[in-house]
Amino acid sequence: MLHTRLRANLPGTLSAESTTACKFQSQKSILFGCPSVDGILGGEFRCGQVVELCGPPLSGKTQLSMKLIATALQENESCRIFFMDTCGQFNPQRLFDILSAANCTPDEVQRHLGRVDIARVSTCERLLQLLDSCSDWAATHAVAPGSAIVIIDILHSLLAPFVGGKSFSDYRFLNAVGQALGYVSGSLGMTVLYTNSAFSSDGRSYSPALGTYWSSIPHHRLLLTRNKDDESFPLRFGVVVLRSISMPSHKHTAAEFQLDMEGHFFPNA
Amino acid sequence: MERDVDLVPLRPVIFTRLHELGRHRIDSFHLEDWEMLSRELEVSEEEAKRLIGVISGYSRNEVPSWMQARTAWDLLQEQRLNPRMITTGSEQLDRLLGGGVAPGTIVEFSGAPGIGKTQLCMQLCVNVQLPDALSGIQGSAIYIDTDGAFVVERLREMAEAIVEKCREEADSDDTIYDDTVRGALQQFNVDEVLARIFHFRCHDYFDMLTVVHLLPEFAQKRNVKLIVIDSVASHFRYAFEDDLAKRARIMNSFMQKLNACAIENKIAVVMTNQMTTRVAAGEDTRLIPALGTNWGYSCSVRVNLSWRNDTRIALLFKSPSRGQSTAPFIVSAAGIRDIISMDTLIEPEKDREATLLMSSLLADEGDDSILADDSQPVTQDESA
Repeated sequence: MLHTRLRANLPGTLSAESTTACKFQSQKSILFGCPSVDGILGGEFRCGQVVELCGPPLSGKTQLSMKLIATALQENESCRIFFMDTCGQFNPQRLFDILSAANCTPDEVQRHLGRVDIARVSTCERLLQLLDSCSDWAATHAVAPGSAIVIIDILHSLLAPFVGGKSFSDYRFLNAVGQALGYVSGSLGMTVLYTNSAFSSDGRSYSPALGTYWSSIPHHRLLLTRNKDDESFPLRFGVVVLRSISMPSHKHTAAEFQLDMEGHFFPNA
Repeated sequence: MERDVDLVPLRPVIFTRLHELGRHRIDSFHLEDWEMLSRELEVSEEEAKRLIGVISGYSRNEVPSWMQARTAWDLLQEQRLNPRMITTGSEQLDRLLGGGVAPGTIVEFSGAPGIGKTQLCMQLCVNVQLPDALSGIQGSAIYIDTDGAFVVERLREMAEAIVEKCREEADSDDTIYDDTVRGALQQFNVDEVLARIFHFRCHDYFDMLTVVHLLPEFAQKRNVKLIVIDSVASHFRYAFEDDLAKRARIMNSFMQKLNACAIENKIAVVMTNQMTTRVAAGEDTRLIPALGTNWGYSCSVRVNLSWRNDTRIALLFKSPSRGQSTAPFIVSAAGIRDIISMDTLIEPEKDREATLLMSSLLADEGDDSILADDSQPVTQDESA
C-alpha cells in the first residue's frame, strides 16, 4: 500500500535550500503594537511564523490579537487578515475602537476593517478546509503571502475533544491541524496567530492546554495572565515567553502590559 | 494540501472498507465513479453518491462555499443596524445583555436553586414568539428539560401576560399600527404560543447527545429561534465520576454541535448551569458555576444570578462586547420584570461586591489539568 503510494510520488526532485538564503532572517518583524510585548520578543517574531497566545479566560488574549491586527493594518496598506472565529466571539466594535483610538480617520477605519475577512468555523474538519483554502483566499484578494495574517481565535475549543483521550487515533486531528498550520506558514509564507487556553492546578502558575505534543508546533509561545490581586484600572497583565525558536530558554523574559477601562493599551504606545 | 480520507466525518465502518480498498486520499474520489464505489462498498447508489458528495466537499483547495465572505466592516454595519433580540421581559436585564439574548450566541445563566433560572428560560421561550410589531422575532422554541422542572401551568401564566399585552397594543388608539398589524396582534393567542414551544425530556446525557444530533433538521423545519437547555449540568456533572477527561471531551463535542447549529441557523442558545462549592487550601469556601473553567470558553455570554439583600441580581461576567455589570430583576406572577424603583445600573467600578463575586467566579477548578496533558494526574474538581 505504502509502496504504491511512494512509487506514485517518485520520481520527484528533492530541493534543498542553502542556509544563506534562510527565509526568516530576511523577513520583516511582526509587531503587536504594544512596546513591552514587542520588547521581550526582540523583533524576532517574523513574517511567516506561527505564534501562540495562551492564557486563562479574560487574560487579554483576544485584545492583544486585536491590537496586532490593528497595528498590521495601519503599518501595511497591502496587508489582509483572515480571521477564523471558532466561538462566534469576534466583535468588530473592539477593532473599531482600537483603530479609532490610534487616530485613524473614519475613512481609514472603514478601509482597514474592509481588509479583515471573518469566517466562523465550528468543527475541526471545517478548520482544516479553511486552512487549505488560504492560498485561494490570498489569490482572490491579491494578497502577497508576506502581507497575509491568519488568526484563529480560539483554537483550543475545536481541538479540545481530541486531547486527553486514551485512543491513539484521536490525535490524528491534532496532527492534521499542526501540519496545516505548518503548510500555511511554511509553504504559503503567511503569518499565523492563534489563541489557546491555559490551565492551573494550584491557581498560581499556568501551563498551556493541548499537551506536550503541541508544544513543538508554534515558533513563539506567549503566556498571558491577569493580575487578579489588583482589580482597579488600568488592569495589569503579565506576559511570559514560554518558547521561542529565536532565543535560548534561559533568556526567556517576562513583561507586563496594562489596559485602561476602554480596553486600550496603557500608557498609549 | 492532500488529505487522508480519515479526516472526513464518516462512519468507522466506511473508513475500514475504504482502507481495505486502498482508497486513502480525499482526491481519489470523483463523482463519476459512484457506480464503482457502490459496487465496491456494497451500498446503494444513492448512498455512494452521497458519500462522494461528502468526501469531495472536503477536497477543494478553494474557499469553501459555506464560508460567508464578510469583512469586519460588513459585520460592524450589521451590528449597528441593531438586529432583533429576544427580550427577557426586564429592561435592565436586557440592557445588561446588550439588548436581550442575541440570535446566534450561546448564553449561560448560572445560579443557586430557586434564583429563577428556569423562570427566565420559560420567559424567553414565550418572548421569542413576540410578533414583529412588538420588535419580536416570531420564532419557535425548543426546551430541553433534564430535571423535569418544566411546568406548563407556569408557562401558560407567562403566555397569558404576553397575549394580554398584545391585545392592549392592538386596542390602543395609537395610529402607528395599520389594520394588518392589529389583526396579527389580535390573533396572537395562548394556545398558539404553547404550541410553538417544543419540549424534550432528557433522562441522561445520552438522550441529550441524541437530541443535539437531531436538532439542526428539526430547527429548520419549525423555524426555531431559541434553544433552551435546563440544566446543562445535571446529566454531565456526575455521569463520568471516574473519567473527567471523557466528560470534558464529550461535553466539548456536544457544544461544537450546538454551536454549529446556533451559528448556521441564527438560533439563540440559552443554558442554565448549577453552582458548585470550591474548597481550596488557605481560601474561603465559595460558590462558582459547575463544569470547570474550560467549559466557560464554550459560552460567549455568561451571567450569574444571585441574591443580594432580598433582591435578585444578575451579574454579567463574560461577554465579547461589554464589561462586567449588574442588573436587578424580579420574578412576578407575569414572569421576569423590572424592579420599578431602581432605574440605573450599578456602576461597575463602584460595585465592590460585584468585583469580589466576579473574581471568585473566574477562579479555576482543578479539572482543567485533564485537558492539558494526558500524563497529568486527574484531580477531582467538585466536592458535593
